[in-house]
Amino acid sequence: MRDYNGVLLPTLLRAYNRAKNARYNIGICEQLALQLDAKPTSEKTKNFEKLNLIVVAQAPSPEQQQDRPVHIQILVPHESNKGYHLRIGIDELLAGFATAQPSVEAEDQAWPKLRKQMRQAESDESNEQND
Amino acid sequence: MRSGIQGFQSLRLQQLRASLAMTQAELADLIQCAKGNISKWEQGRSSPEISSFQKICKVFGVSETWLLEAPIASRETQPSFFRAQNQTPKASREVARTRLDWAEEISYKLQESLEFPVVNVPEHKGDFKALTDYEIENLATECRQLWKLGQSPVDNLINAMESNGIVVTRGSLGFAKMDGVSRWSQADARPYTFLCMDKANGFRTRFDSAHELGHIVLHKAVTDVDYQKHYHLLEKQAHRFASAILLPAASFSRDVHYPTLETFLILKPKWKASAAAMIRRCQDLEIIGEDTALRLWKARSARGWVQREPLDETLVPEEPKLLERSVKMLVENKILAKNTLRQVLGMPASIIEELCNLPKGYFEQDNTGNVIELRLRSSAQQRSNSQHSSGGQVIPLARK
Repeated sequence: MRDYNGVLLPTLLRAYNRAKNARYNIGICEQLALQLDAKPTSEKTKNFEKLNLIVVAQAPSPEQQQDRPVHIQILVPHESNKGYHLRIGIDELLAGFATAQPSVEAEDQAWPKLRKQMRQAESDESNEQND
Repeated sequence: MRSGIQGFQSLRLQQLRASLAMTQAELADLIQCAKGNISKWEQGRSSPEISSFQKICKVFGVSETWLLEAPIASRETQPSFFRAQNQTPKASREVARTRLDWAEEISYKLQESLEFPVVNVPEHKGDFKALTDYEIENLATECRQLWKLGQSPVDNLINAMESNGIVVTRGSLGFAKMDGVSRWSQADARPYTFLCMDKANGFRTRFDSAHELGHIVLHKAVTDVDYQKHYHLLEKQAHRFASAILLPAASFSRDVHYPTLETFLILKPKWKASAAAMIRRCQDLEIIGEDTALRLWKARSARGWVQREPLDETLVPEEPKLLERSVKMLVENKILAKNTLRQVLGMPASIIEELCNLPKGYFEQDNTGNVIELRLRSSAQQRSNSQHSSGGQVIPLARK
């Protein structure tokens, strides 16, 4: 279920993420870089080495400009090639690294004020001096 | 029957000795008296004679009147919530509690002349034992709404706390495993927080602030007995609140597309939270399951991030401003001379400077010209005629 902006609602998004993560018997790319050079020690790491990354660049139609692809997709297929660990567009991938929401600087209200009677005393004194 | 200086405040001596984590025997050596006397003076069973009394003033660099003035501290009636790692020496708690006592006293006295921001903090009024994670999340959301923080990362949490009436101070204690302590004051019905700066890690201090805020919001009604009995539950609840206020469920979970250590490192400068805090938050929000979490914790450990994470040095610890601004407002507007203010506050100058986040040696520079001296708390009036003890060797109280 999505809200009116087409964005997954938070609780559903979390459930979706959890389901997505559970599907991967290795965390997406987690420790992949570290373990590529290591000798396989278990079936799990053997499977690791069979991972393939496919980059699909969709070419524009002949009548369109040919200087850039219409769309780029990143795919990590299951070993059986019957499904995908990961199948997303490059824009979506990059969005995961974006800092879309800048931090909010709340108004700085951490200032003391002189007490009213003191402000009054100061004001009276100043008036007296002026007179 | 009590003998010696009339009106001697035993708690003052306890505070001074605790703030240096000094034993009674060490203090007895310094002022050349029997150890048993220190014990009696601290318990209020007797008071020091004039010569010992003056030696105490000289050794600690405090005024005589301050030792005779009843302390303003809510430690007897309100529980102090400590955030500390396991195996923290008992002395470190006493040092931290004393700093909080003194911060409360400084603030209380300054408020005689100054109005501080109004306390604007949501409070949980029910039984803390029945608090659910859902309610804690809601209270964190309520706090964000009340403080107009939206759903984005908080730029400066300490400033947000001070802007909403919480007095925050910080200092070094010499104990790396002590993180902070907080308490609601009975004197001015205001919450106080002391943060330990021994780790010098901006991410860590920020989480400590959020944790103490959790105690302030969730545990106002908790008694000292409850605190002793349910320490772990209270800590867990404050921890959950800290995670929720720093990393709101709705917006943070949108950022965690792929729960890897690399992702958390990328998100670290944005959310100003450690990778560990983000892994924990992903677990709390069930973005990741137990297997993924375990793998991430192991990977974090394998990379040597338990002691220190990458980018830890990039965030400068947030600084409290309220007390500093208050002192400077009184001094720079020539409402009170530095010497008089230091006399009124009474405690060692180095401690006042540290707790008020003032530059070292601030009170050594004189500015007595053209000062109109206005009132502080009535007890301060009696003090204004007293002479601050000078001469003799003064122990610097900054750390052990």
